[in-house]
Amino acid sequence: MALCVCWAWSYSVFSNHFNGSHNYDAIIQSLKHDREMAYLEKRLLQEEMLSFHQQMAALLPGIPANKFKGEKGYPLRQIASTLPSDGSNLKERLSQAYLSRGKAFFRDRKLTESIRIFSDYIQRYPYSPQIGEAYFLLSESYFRNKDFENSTKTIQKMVSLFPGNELTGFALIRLGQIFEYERRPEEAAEVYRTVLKSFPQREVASQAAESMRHLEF
Amino acid sequence: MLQKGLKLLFLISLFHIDIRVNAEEFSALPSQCWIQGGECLVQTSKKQVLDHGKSRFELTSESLLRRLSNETFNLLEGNLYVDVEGRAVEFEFPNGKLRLEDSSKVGVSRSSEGVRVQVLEGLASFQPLGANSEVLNIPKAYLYEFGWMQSDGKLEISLPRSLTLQEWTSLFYVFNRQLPPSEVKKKLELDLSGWMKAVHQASSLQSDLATRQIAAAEERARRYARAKAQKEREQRELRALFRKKNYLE
Repeated sequence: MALCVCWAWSYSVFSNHFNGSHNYDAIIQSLKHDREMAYLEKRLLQEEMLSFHQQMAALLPGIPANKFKGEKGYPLRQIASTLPSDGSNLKERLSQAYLSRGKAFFRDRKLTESIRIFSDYIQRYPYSPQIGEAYFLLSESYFRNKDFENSTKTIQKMVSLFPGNELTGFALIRLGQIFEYERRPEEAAEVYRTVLKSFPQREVASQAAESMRHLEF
Repeated sequence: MLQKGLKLLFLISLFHIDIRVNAEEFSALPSQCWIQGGECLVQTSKKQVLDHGKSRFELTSESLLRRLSNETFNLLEGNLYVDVEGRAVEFEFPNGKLRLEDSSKVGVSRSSEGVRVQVLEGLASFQPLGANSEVLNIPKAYLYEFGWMQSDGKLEISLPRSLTLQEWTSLFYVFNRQLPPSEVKKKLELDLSGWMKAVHQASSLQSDLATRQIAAAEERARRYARAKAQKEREQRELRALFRKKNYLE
């Protein structure tokens, strides 16, 4: 019995020694330890990054708005872009205020300024709910400034971007008028007919019909 | 003979059984740092109770606690129940500092949403990040949630509310489970009156807040209606202008 036990024990020690399993065990343990260390380091770095973001979020609102503008304001804007969003519709409110400024210039016949603001608005707030209105007012500003070429280009863009919009209908009537000024009555008539056919809105249709009546061939 | 053979087989099999004992239920970095003092990072895989001076820290599984100095800590993940005895304890979070006064029993949770503080006994106070922020006291039987600082420099803080009975009893159990049943009953009866007082206080506070919020919402609705009417008026004027310029002049 004792011999058997000794034999079994010796066999076990021998086999463990030569099959190298203890080496693998050590390697596995070491790798597990490394993985644990790497996780903890990553977690600490994440915490530091979050703390940095929070510090920035607390400091940035105190910086004057003009510091964020232009080339020099780029680093600040970049930091601000990494911060959690405030979830408010601040951008929408800003865009509305900017559009109102353009409208005020348009009403006061300061057309150079209104063109600048509407063009800028389209660049800055391409997904704004008032974007159609901005395009329309831009085309109108160009028209009143006697810049028919740019007015036509803007109207064409409106047709491709907002084909069913009521304002596109009004803009197309304006396009017809531009053709009239350029002594191209056939093309103007074609535009008015398209408006009558494609825009069911009462006001647009009645104006298109009136324009057709006044058209001189 | 058969019996001997079986015994032999059993003995042989014993030599091949790989017995592993997981000695530690938490890992500390550097190792043994919790006992040695100073900066230490503790990660738990199971519930773990750690002594810090006379104070007692109970970490739930999968929690990560960092000791920055002997009085300052940071809970990075999970839940922690702190029974403060002796000196006050401070926690530094990315969004502010939490201070737990002597003789307070507080539950602190950290998640991706922010920090949650539940006070069973004593007093806790939270100083939000920012130069002009005011310290917020969290009385006993109250719960506060602190979100992260937003890009407008505002910290999201939940409405102050008292713990629900379920929350309060779970917290009570965590801090009093070592007491004998007779004492638990006595303490429960005594502490419940404190909880009820907090509920009454919180309900009147919330009623005031709700009234203020309703008034603010009504004002917002009025402003929105005014802005909408103005926008419609502007649209009408623009259209009229357009018609006038096209056909009437």
